[in-house]
Amino acid sequence: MGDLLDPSVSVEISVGVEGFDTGEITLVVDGDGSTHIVQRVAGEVHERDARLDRETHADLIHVLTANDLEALEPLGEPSPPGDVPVRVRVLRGDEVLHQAMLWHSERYRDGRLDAILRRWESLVSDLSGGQLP
Amino acid sequence: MNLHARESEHGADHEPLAAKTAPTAAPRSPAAVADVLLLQRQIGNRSVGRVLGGFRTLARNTTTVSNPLSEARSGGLAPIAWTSSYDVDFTSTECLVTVRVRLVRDGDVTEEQQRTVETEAQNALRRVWDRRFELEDLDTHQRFTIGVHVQFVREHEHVTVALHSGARAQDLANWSVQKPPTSRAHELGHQLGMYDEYVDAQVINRATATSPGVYVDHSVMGNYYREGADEAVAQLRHGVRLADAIGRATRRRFRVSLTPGPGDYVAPAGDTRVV
Repeated sequence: MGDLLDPSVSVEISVGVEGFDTGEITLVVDGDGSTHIVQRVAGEVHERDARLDRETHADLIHVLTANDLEALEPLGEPSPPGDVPVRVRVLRGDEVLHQAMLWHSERYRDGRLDAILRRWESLVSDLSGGQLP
Repeated sequence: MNLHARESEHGADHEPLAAKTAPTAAPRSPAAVADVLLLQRQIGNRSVGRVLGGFRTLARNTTTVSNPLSEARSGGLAPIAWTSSYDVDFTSTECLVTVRVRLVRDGDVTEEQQRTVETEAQNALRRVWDRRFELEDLDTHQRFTIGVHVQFVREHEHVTVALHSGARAQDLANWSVQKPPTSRAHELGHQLGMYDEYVDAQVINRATATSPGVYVDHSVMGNYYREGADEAVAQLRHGVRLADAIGRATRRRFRVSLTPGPGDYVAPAGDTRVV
């Protein structure tokens, strides 16, 4: 725990499946606030780069740490049809410090995941000019 | 796939409706009138007329179709699992399928948004699923058009759906207000017993574009976002699954055929299968 406060640490959060709807959208936030969005949809890849201002970055880190991003684990229960994966990775360079594959519907049973995904959705929307997610 | 149809003749939540809506029921209470008006709003005047017409000619004999379904995921991941359930009533000419949904909105979703989603769902279900298939009873040779309707209820639901704001990812049990109307027909397709038909690398039967569970033929259960939501249709294989489940629950054997519909680009009308 506490890795997210390290400026050399990056966070990746991916939501969705490539073959449906808006595809799989990955938001990567580096420790210096630079961001990278990758949308993989139906065989196409769309990428966007941007940088968060200091306040937005600090707020994101606060939301991720306050909601135990590095402790989230899948509930291990069956999913309803249509549910999509939420992949979380915390990295220092190539070293994976934490990773988990959760399910989107779990946000409705785990308020921590819901809080993280709400922040993810608003950031992705802001950084994509409202085109995503 | 393990399909177990469970038949139950139940009347508690249906007999009052039949009694209230039958033309000979007298006198109609305000509650009965309200029920008819609610039905008219939910499934349309023509559909209510068809339902009432059916009650005039046949005693109500509702069967609940209920099938546990699942799809395995790879890598030891928990499976996808749900129970498809709905009611079936036969009139002299129709097989009426009714899905009762209890829609529970989040605090940040307005009543108006909920009503809009309900209307979208009714219209989308009508466009994609209603009167799409015809059954022929192989023993009596009677023919029935499959009518499919959704009712939004506060109790006696087949499925509970949470309604969320925004355009977040949906599943059978979680809808979002900003998703397109066709998505309502897609999610309710699961409740009718249909599997997803788009590529999902984690699902064994749909892991790649050539997997047996993947279809690219304007299926409403496929990636209609890519193929065109307005062209999304129910295909004959869906009618076969529906007829199979109804047949098991009612202990009847059917031949199922496709009726032509707007936007039907792929499956030829008149194509038939025996289940």
